[in-house]
Amino acid sequence: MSSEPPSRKPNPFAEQPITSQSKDGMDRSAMNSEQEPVVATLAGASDDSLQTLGRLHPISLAFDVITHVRSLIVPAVIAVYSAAKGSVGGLMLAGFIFIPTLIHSIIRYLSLRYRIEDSELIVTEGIFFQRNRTVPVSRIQNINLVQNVLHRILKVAEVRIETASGTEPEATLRVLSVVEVERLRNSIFHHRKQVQQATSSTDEIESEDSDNSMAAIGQDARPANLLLTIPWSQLARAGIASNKGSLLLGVLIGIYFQFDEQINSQFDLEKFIRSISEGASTATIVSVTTVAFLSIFLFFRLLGMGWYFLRFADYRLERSGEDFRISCGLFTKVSASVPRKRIQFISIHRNLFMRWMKLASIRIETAGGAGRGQEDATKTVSSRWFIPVLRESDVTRLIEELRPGLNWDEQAFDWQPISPKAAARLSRVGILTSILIAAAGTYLFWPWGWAIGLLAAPLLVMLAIKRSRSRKYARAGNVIVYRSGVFTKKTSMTFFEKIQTVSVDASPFDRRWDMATLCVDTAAAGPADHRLHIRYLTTEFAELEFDAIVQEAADQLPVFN
Amino acid sequence: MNEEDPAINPPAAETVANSSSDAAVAIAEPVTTFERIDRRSIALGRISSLIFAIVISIGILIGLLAMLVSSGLGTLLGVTTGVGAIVIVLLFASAFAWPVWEYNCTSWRLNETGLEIHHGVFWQHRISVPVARVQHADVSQGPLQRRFELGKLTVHTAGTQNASVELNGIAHDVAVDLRNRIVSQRRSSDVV
Repeated sequence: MSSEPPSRKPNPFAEQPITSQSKDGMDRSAMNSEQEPVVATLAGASDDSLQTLGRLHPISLAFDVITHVRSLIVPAVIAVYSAAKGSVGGLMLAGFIFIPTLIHSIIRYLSLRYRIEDSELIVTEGIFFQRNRTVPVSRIQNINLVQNVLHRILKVAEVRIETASGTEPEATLRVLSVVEVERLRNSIFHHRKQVQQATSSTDEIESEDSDNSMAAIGQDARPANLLLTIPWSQLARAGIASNKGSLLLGVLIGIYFQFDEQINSQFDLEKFIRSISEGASTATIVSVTTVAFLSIFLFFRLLGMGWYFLRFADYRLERSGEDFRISCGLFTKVSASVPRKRIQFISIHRNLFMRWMKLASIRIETAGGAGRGQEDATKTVSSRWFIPVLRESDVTRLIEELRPGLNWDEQAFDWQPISPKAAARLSRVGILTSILIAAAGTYLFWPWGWAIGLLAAPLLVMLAIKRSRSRKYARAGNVIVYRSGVFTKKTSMTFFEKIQTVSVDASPFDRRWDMATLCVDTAAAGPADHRLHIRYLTTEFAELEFDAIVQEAADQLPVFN
Repeated sequence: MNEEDPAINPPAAETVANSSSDAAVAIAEPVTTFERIDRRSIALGRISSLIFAIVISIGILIGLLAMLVSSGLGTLLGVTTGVGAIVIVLLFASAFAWPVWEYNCTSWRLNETGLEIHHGVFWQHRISVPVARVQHADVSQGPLQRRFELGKLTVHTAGTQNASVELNGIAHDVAVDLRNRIVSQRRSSDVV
């Protein structure tokens, strides 16, 4: 950064030529008005950003200890409890737990250093066991920030540096001061620009609204293409459409059964209901029950809404150069960047309610990044919920933004159906299931239980037929698209240069029906809930597509960076 | 062994060239037809399955003996012995037959598009790895494989579900040669 003229305000993604910055100088000053003090500090700080050693913010000591204590909460509580009762053993146990943790945190705080040298980010850590991690700057894919309320008050942020490898961030710096974060980002992006010649900077500049929600972490002082913001009304509707709240219902039911006996001793649900319904007319009971169920339903939908508000309030999607940037969150702010070229997989989801409200959501998968099992806030935002909700009319625009050159017109694709025998096969499974249900029903509710199976049969067969009809496959130009789903419709796509392997699999059952599964594997890690595993294709079609895709994929070199 | 039941041949391996003996010749020219794996893999497969079958059989026999000691003769022991005998017979039969089936169902080719492998007796798979997507490839050899001069080629990609693709039962020389060809054929050096 030392090469930068001091007059120019530093910004995290400095790829734009200076001319374009002056063009919208007025807008920028408006945007910056809130963060002027930060910027002023930055101007001074940016000069020595390359060579000096970076280190953690002093407050990270506290955060580190808190994290450790939280993971040891059960023994910690026991230890503190018994220590408070005056037991020496408890005190020793507490010491046993906390002193190593404290030492570990102090060592980590004192020893962690990072610097950028020869286009490599070097993070060293440890005194006795030294760990030296070197990450080439050109391989750094993301720099994600997380700021919870406490972080925001203290003007610090957690930084996660991701590469395409592995299942967790390459380096997590917890926590850095906002000024440090800025410096780090500046130098990383400055280096990245040097390493890989800056990509086209012909973005149109449309700097809009003045309140930059991420001003707290000093992000985005430069013009970026604002692609999407989500108004509260849409978040509310998405929350109502989502099943997020029902998950909580499951948890509650679990808790109820867990403590069933304890609760029953004081409070008997059945007795309670009986005491209320005594003397009431049937109509009253029915209406009360209906209202109760409706209000429970509404309550959980409201919970879902709350989740959406918490996570996605102030959602902004921007593109600067070749990077998409997302920032959102009501209390915990998350800021994530996703390079366009790293997108391996795009998926559009529309559930029943969303389709009624003409809404959709877009998910993406990128190579590497955070773990598969548990996902942290940045991963949730940057891939699983890339765009949590958007209007149906915006889908085409955003897909084409995610993948320039793609002519996205879902209706116009040459959709290929799966095997015509699939409906029969799935129906047969449905009938077998209903026979099993009937058997179980007969056993449980003798003698009329089999009627449940009889009722289930037509429903399951209908569902089977719908399922087989909903599955469609298309290959158009550079893209492979697969869509399926009866209630929640999902449309997923990947691109030839992203394909890692292609395979055709056939189980003995498949072969009986002359079917095969076409699988397209990409480098996208993470919870892909709509993989490109296209089942029940005819063997002939699957093999033809296999050959075609292999040929196309081999002709195109992979692009990750 | 070449006249195996055609029904268990992989459906897609239309042009299977049986060239285990002159593998070196086949490698020299660009391979576009499917190659079979090495014939010696049948013997190897039989030996390793036999070892497995023997170990399991010994376990079953010990179990039966323990039953006899603890509860003496009875219907339960009779039934268990019957089941155990069937399992042992099946184990030995499959130890003999399975490697042949596997040999018949496995084939591969490497051409300009990439490495394509067919395998699987009941669950049949056909997988193709474009050469440009290969991250790295290794050849490994177990102690038994070393006796038979066989090897295993493992090709790693940046993928998720099929991140590594294995080709087992080829001659070690062929595996090494394949690896070298794959690595040199790969055009892109900067894959991720």
